[in-house]
Amino acid sequence: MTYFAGVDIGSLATKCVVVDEAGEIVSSAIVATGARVSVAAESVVAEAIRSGGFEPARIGCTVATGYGRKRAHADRQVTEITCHARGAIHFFPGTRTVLDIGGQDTKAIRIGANGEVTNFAMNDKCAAGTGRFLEVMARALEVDLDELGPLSMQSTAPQTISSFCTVFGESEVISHVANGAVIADIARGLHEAISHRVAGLIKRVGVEAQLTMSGGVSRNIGMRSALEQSLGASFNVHPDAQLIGALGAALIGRDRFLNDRQ
Amino acid sequence: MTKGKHYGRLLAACQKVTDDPMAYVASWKARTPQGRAVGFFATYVPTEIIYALGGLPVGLWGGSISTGSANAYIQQFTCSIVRSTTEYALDGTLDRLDAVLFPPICDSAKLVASIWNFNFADKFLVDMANLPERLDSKGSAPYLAAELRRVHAALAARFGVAASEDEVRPAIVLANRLRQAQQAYCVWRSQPGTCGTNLVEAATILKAGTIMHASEYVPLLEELLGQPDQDAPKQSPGVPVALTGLACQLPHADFLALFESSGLRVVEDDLFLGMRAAAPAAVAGDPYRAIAESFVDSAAMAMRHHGRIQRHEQLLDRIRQRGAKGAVFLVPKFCEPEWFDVRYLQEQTKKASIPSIIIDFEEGSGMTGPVQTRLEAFAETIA
Repeated sequence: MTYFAGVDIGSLATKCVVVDEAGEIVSSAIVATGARVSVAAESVVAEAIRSGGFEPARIGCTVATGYGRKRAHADRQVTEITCHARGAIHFFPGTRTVLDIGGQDTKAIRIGANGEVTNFAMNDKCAAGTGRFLEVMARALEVDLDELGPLSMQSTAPQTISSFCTVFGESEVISHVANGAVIADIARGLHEAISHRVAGLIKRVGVEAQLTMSGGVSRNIGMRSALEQSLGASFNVHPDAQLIGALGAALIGRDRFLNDRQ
Repeated sequence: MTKGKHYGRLLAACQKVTDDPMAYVASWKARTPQGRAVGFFATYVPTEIIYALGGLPVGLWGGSISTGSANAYIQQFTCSIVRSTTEYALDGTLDRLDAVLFPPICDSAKLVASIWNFNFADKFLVDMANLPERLDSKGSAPYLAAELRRVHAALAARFGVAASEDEVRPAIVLANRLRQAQQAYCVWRSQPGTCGTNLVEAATILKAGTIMHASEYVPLLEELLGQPDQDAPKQSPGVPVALTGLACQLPHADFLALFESSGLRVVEDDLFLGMRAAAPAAVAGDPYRAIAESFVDSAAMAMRHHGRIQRHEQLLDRIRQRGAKGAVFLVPKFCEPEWFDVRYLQEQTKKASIPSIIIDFEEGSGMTGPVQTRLEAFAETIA
């Protein structure tokens, strides 16, 4: 049996998924990216191989994706746009629109009837509307990042957050805190502000069902709720949504390997 | 990539000039008695008038510099070339210029012309060649001809020489030769087998043509074009695309290099289209009217209303002729003329089933990672 590894090197986390020749997930691993990108990539692949219980030599192809893809030892580099589309289709074959909210950028991807990427848009110059924005705001609210979403669901009167700039947004949050606003209402206001920004990004590529969320922020129930309210549509969210980019990379390696062998 | 003798000589000369344009200006002035240097933003200006006065037209390119002083004069939401050239005017980099001739291409250019006139009149003459925006009017060419006479007289008065109509005709011949050589180079580099001339090198070669005197630049280019077989670089791999939307500025070389490293091969481009797209001017008759007629007959661009030449039709023709599989709109941030057109142009490419992507840029921006991701994803999508 030959296996195929996909490595998604994001700004916050590096993910690895290993699939077999049938495209089934065999193992996976997640490590913090840190400052040494190539070290993170090597260690996450080693961890995935170790948990899969097979020899490294059985890896037939490794595909790297994510912002650090050029720094990884891999057979191919493929952009996260293509990889997230491939991974989303694997989990939800009816997917036509993918939203990936990552640590440092957000991507909206349109997929055609044959699974091909037909259009995409990225917010690539500003941290507003990304995982990093939520991380900074959680710190300002002294709330654990994983608790921010559930907390926002308790809101009864969301606060308005008008600034999209991470730095000014943090100042606005601190101002709300100083004025005695309820933390849950501030948290909801933050998620709504991001959702309005992200909704604009998705509309640039055109919204078509089914919609699938990928990336670590998809685990945030408050973000999903605010987005579904903004767009008037629901998202597919797989329990392994954070692995979709790495999965797509592994599947692209597998597809290419099997095609070449034929 | 293999480089032939002529190509290597041309590229080396152009690289030297573009690395330090003002060193070239100093050198040219040192060997040209009474030689005057006239700066301009590198879109269309009537360079024939400058050549007729024995002058050197010098493209102003801005640069990747801190614009702390210029920001005191100009708002942050103007394009980066306006701010960086103003910084150069303030720090003395442009002191070797004798005049600056602005084209009225946008509000920012008009604004900066006023600011420069107010602040730097003691350094150099600041004038504007008021080009007509409607080119389908019978009055366009006569109006421009009169404006060219005025500009000629104004520059001549500043330089203390006579504005001789007879000197304009040989200047027309020289400017025609420059444009024809650049147009021929662009066709040459787009042909199969030679289109591997990468974008960074093409930009360097064309940019040098806005700085070097045509009498020194054109022979180098013609030497290459006369020996195309021996000097043809190998074709580089990559998905063929058309590049458009650059107006009068360029991103830095590292940014342009992203195209090739992302798997794209630029087979058609707008690099300095404003400079090279004018039709050859007639040598006989009224020379001012001849220059004006050539401008009126030039290619469709932002801020020009042709009526008879639609910009999107011209773009689609060029994409199809060169076999491009997609279009990249590379638009300077805050460039109003291009941003007014780009959404419409993208809609037209979409109707023609030609995929496209919009990338914006600023001089000196270090954010190349996300741009590379977008270009690579575009290449993956259209391959």
